[in-house]
Amino acid sequence: MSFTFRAIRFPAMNKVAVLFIFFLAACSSPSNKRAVSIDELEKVQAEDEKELKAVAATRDALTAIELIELADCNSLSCIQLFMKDRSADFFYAKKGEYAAQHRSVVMDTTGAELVMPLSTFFVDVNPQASWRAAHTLHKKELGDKLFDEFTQLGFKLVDSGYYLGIKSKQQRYASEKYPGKSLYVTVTYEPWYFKGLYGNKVTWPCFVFEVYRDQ
Amino acid sequence: MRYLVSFILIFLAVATFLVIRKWFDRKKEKSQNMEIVREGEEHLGSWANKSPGALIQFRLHRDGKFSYSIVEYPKSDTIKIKGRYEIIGAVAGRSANYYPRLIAIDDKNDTLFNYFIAYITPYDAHALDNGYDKMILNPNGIYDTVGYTFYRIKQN
Repeated sequence: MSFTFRAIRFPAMNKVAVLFIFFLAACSSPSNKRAVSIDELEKVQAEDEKELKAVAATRDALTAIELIELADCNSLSCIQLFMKDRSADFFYAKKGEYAAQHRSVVMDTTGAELVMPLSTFFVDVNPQASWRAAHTLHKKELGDKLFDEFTQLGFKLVDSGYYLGIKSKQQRYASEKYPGKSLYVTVTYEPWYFKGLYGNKVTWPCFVFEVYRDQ
Repeated sequence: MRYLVSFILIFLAVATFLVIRKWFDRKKEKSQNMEIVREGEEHLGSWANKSPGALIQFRLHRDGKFSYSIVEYPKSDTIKIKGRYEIIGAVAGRSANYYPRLIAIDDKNDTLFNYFIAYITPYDAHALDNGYDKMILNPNGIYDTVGYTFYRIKQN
């Protein structure tokens, strides 16, 4: 008993063997083959992260240290120079307005889902305006995290008041580690008056962090 | 008529193959305590992420069971939790930004995972993700660009 396969003659048992090999090959799962061992995991992750790092943003907000460093800037060009190294994470939307590359869903007070950058860093560039540079976060979790960073750097509550021309009361914090610099924090629906993302009515709570050198 | 017979024969051959393959898969899964992943069920199996602080592993069993373990460094204490999971699709009236979601609960009905499945390496993908299956879980929704990346790990 035999059959012809492209002019090559196989005995019947060979046919069964060939079919069985085809079957086994088709039975193997590509996904199961694409698994990594625990020992290799760290290496694979590191390679993956290295590739991603080159193209993707890795965070949603500036750090406390960066805000403290930015407090030494008193011109837009100084801030542009500082933010240039962070352009993978923050893009320059327009003059004086940086926004996080990341976007996410922010729930506003009516329960509506808004998609937006999770933070902005705006500088007041109007010729008549007094200098203002504010880092505004749009999620409580991010605000809490940044505030914790400042707390770990020794910032403690000094007083509160209406300092910087915005309608919300701000808390002022200072740290012995960073003499001559103050942190101003507020939660508000009016972080800026008709500027960029905040041009229309703001319906989500904004967590505003500002660090300045004391006058 | 000849074509119809050929069509039926091909159909039967494919159906038989799939049935036998499934039977083999289940036998192997049972004997080796693992998941054989096929098209449309790429989420099954064991996944892990290692960071300087911890090694997190979880397994999505075929029968809906969920196994979770975390090793915290430097103490290397291992916490193991068992529970159940579900992949939830879009729900009427809710934004598609939030779905599909992986929701896992432990035996005490506490939520362990509630994440948007942002990405899973497709079945039969040869040139993606450096040859390793990857699952990215986002805490909020589809627009999150920060997610937790887990890698498929060998089960044996």
